[in-house]
Amino acid sequence: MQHLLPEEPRPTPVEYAAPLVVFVGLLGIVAVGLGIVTAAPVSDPLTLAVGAAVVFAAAYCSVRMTGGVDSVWTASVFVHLALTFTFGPPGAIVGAVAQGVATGARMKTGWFRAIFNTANYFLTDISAWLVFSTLLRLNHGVLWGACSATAAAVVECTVNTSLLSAVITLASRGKASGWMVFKRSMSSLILYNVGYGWAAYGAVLLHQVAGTVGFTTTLLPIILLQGFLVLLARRIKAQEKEREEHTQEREALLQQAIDASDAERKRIASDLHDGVVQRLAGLALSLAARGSAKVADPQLLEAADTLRSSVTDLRTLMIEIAPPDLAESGVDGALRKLLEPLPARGIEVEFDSAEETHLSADKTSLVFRVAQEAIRNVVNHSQATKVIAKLRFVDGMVTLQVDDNGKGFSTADRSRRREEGHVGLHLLNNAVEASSGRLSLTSEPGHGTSLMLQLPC
Amino acid sequence: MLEIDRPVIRVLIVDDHPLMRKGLVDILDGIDDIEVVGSAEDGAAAVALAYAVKPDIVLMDISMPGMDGIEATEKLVEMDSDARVVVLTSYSEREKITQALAAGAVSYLTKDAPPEAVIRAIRSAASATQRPTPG
Repeated sequence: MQHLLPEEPRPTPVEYAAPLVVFVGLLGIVAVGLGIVTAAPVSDPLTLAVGAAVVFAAAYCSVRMTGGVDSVWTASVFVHLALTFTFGPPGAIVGAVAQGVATGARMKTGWFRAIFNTANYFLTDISAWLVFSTLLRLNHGVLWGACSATAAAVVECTVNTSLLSAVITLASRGKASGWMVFKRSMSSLILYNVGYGWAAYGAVLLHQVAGTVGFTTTLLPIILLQGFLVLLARRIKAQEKEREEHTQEREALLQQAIDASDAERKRIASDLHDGVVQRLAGLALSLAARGSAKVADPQLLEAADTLRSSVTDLRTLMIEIAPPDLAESGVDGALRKLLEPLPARGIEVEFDSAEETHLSADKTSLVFRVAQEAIRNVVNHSQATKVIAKLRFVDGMVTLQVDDNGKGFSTADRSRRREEGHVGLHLLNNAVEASSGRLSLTSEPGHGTSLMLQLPC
Repeated sequence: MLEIDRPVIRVLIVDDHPLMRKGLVDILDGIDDIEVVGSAEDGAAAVALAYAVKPDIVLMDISMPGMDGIEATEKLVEMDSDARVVVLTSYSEREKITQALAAGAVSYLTKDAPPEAVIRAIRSAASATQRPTPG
């Protein structure tokens, strides 16, 4: 049976605070006392036994779901209310015990919760029965009976919710507001309970007319509804699981693609480093030597300069396509590498870095990517002659600030660039927000640009 | 104008790329106070050659197949060579530069440095009175 039901988390262990233990203990004593005082033989034990079995089955197969649909709906509440209305206190005792045992068996609630739950079921049912039986003595007729059942159901809901709110408040040591729990539970349960009251009165009437068959007939639709809801819950759970698996699969594929891309970038950078860069650098030196020989050749010197500048560009490109090993160099080292080629491009660099705190690999990578994008924008668009980068680790936050003295931009410029497909910073901003950080960019035409990243360490 | 004769600085070039070795030889060839006394394509050959030709300066590439520039620098220090090592790097391998300096190199140059920077670095290293203690 267990595997046919939707999976659900086990309850958290109880913290046995004195007021909670005293409250539940008193509740148990009152319930047992009332049960002993009110217990009496019943005229139709078969119907009582059938009802108890149905209560047990319905409570054991209750529709409980986490996530997706929030419901603790179970037909058992209706059935033990019907038993209580039909048989009085013996019906309440049998219903409460059956419900308590089934819930304990299904949820592994432990003896403490089982005591509270059983006492709660019994006391709420007996309260409802008191109202129902008292009102029925005042008048006759089916309509009056239905009204009495409705009033009894409202009382049942109120007592049940009050006891639950009290125990939740005590268990949370006052952190949960009892009144808030009461209001929320009442608003979500009251309509169910009114329905249960009417249906339970129907069971009383049918039992009077057709005995066990009549009583059972009333239970069938509700039991079938519970079966349908259990199937629905299973399906929703299965879909949630499938979605989760798909998400994990997609993430794994994405990570594989990123890893493959990183490996390819590193291979290209390594090839550039071991081949083209070396040859060009050597060639630039040879050309410079020839150009500055006794008979100087300005064209050769110019070619040497161009080659040297190409080597510098290649160095920048290599850092762009294959970022340094962040785990080895840390954020500070990686940022220095990013900034290193800038002076060769005529951009003065000021880098101010405080002592580094440990940052996780993904946050290190995020800080590097933001810095990379900021510096790329400075080089490609700002026409700046100076960049000031500051890296700080203060109060559990890493802060990166990159300021330039370039031409700046307006909001309209920024929107236009985004429409043109330059979404680097926008994507980074999403990644920063996903890591509970903040990325801000301030700029004004003619007054440079300032980028600020704040990220919890 | 009178010019005080400067002693000739004997330079050993170590790089696994022939074009780089040739480029360095070319720019140093016409410099009066610098003499290229040999070139090697890896660290092991550099150590052997340094023992034989006793250079004042070794222009040492860091990344080379077999024995790399850092290990070769350590070996030179171990054999108590008087040669001062200037490391050459194709781009900023900061960690490796730090390691090379810790191994006993006196300075470093990137390979896109202009010829005058290379010459300046050689003269500056040669004029240093004492080689730094590795560690």
